[in-house]
Formats: sequence, C-alpha cells, structure tokens
Amino acid sequence: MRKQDALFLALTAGTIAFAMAFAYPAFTSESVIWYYPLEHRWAFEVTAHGVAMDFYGRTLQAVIAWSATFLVTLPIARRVHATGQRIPFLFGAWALTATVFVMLFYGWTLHYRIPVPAKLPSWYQPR
Amino acid sequence: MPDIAFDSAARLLVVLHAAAAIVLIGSTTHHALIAVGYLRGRNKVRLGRIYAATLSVAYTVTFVLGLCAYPTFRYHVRALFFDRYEPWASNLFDTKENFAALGLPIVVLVFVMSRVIDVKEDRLLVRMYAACALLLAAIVWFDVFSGIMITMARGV
Repeated sequence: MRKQDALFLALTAGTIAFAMAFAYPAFTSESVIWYYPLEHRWAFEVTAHGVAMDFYGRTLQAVIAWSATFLVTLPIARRVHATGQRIPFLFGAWALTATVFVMLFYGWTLHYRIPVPAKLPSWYQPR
Repeated sequence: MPDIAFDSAARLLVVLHAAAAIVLIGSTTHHALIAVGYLRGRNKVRLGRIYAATLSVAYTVTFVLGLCAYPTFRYHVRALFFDRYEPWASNLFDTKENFAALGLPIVVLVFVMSRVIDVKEDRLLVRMYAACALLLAAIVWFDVFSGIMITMARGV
C-alpha cells in the first residue's frame, strides 16, 4: 500500500479504536481512572463516591487504544499489496460513523441526565 | 475553602482557553473551506497545510488549558451550582467535553494527511479528508458556542 493510503488507514483505524475505547465504560461496568479534585487523589474503580471526574481516565484509555491500534495497523497496511484507495476510504467512512455514533450517544444520554448536586458546605456563598 | 488543583489560576486559564478557542474556530473553519475547495478543484494546498498545523496547535492548547481548569469548574461551578440550579448547563458541558475528546484523533488525522495527501491524485482520500475537516469544524463550532452559553450561566 502507498504511504499516504497506509497512513490514512492506520489513522482511521485508530480513530475507530479511540471512539470505542472512549465510550466503552458507558456500556459496561469497567473500571476507569477517576480523579477526586477535593482529595487530590486518583482511583481506579467502576463508580465514583463523591465529587469525581472520569474524563481524564476515559481520555487516557482512548489515547492508549488509539496509539496501540495505529502502531499495529501502520506496518500491516504498508505490507498489504492493494492498489486503489477503496479500503482506506471504507475505513474513513467507518471512522466518521463511529465518531458520530458516539457523539450522538453522549448527546442523547446527557440531554436526559438529571445531575445529583453535591452537599453545600458551610462556607459556601454563591459568587 | 477546599484546596483544588489550579484553583487560583482558574480564571486566567479559562481566559487563555477562550483566546485559544478564538484561534481554533478561525483556523478550523478556514481549513474546512479549503478542504471543500479541494473537492471543487481549487487546490490551495499550502494554505491548507498552514491551517491544518494552526488548528492542531490551537486544538491541543485549548484542550490542555481546559483540562487544567476542569477541577475548579467541576467543584465550584458544576457540583455546587449547575447540578442544583442549572442542570442543562452541566449536561451541555459534559456533552461539549466529550465531543472535544472525540475530535482529538481527527485533529491528528487532518494534520498528518494535510502533509502527505496529493489532492490531484488521491481523489477518494480527499473526499474523506474533507468530511473529516467538516466534522472537526462542526465539533469546534458546537464546543465554542456551548462554552459561551455555559460561561454566561456561571464561570469559574
């Protein structure tokens, strides 16, 4: 495969892996890294207890999936004897579909989410 | 008052985050227009590469500054105010941050492909490249306007 075709295929395969790894914890009871901003600590668990953020952990997980997929796919794609750009084009279409699907999933679920407010501390004054 | 990471610098971080987002929305939009131009035979390749590089840097800077300001926002704005009084803003923020993360691999794709693609020969790749550029522009426009609405409701 030509250099640009192989690169495009590897990058789009990585994009698919990123989208799937990013959304995966929402579908399963998988442990992810949570950050507790009030306690300055990290935890690897399924659900948080208190004010916590899983965004860093999910993003890191997705970046690792992207890197692994890219590093595996690129040398394979370079060795494949394929002419034309049909396969990279298909991977591109799947990558865009996966990304848009995950975006729609988050848009839909978060639109209907009812957040649970934290307990107001004694010092709290709205600023 | 609890001690939160980057709390004392949170306002400055958000101002810089917004400044980087101004550069980002401009470069992403110009890049998307140039990518659509490739489909119509208007091959401004050098300009496309410049905008792709600019948007890649601006996206990374905006994203990292947002990550730094996030702990302060998560507690002082979201946990103590939005979740109680403005739940729509909480949900819009989480939608925005998830969309921003999903844009990261597309930024890398656009930057790398802008360097190696031959817009005259690789016609199938150019179509997909333009689609990626348009999706990226849509994410950035959504995120910028969501950010403005959220900050109007309450900032850090």
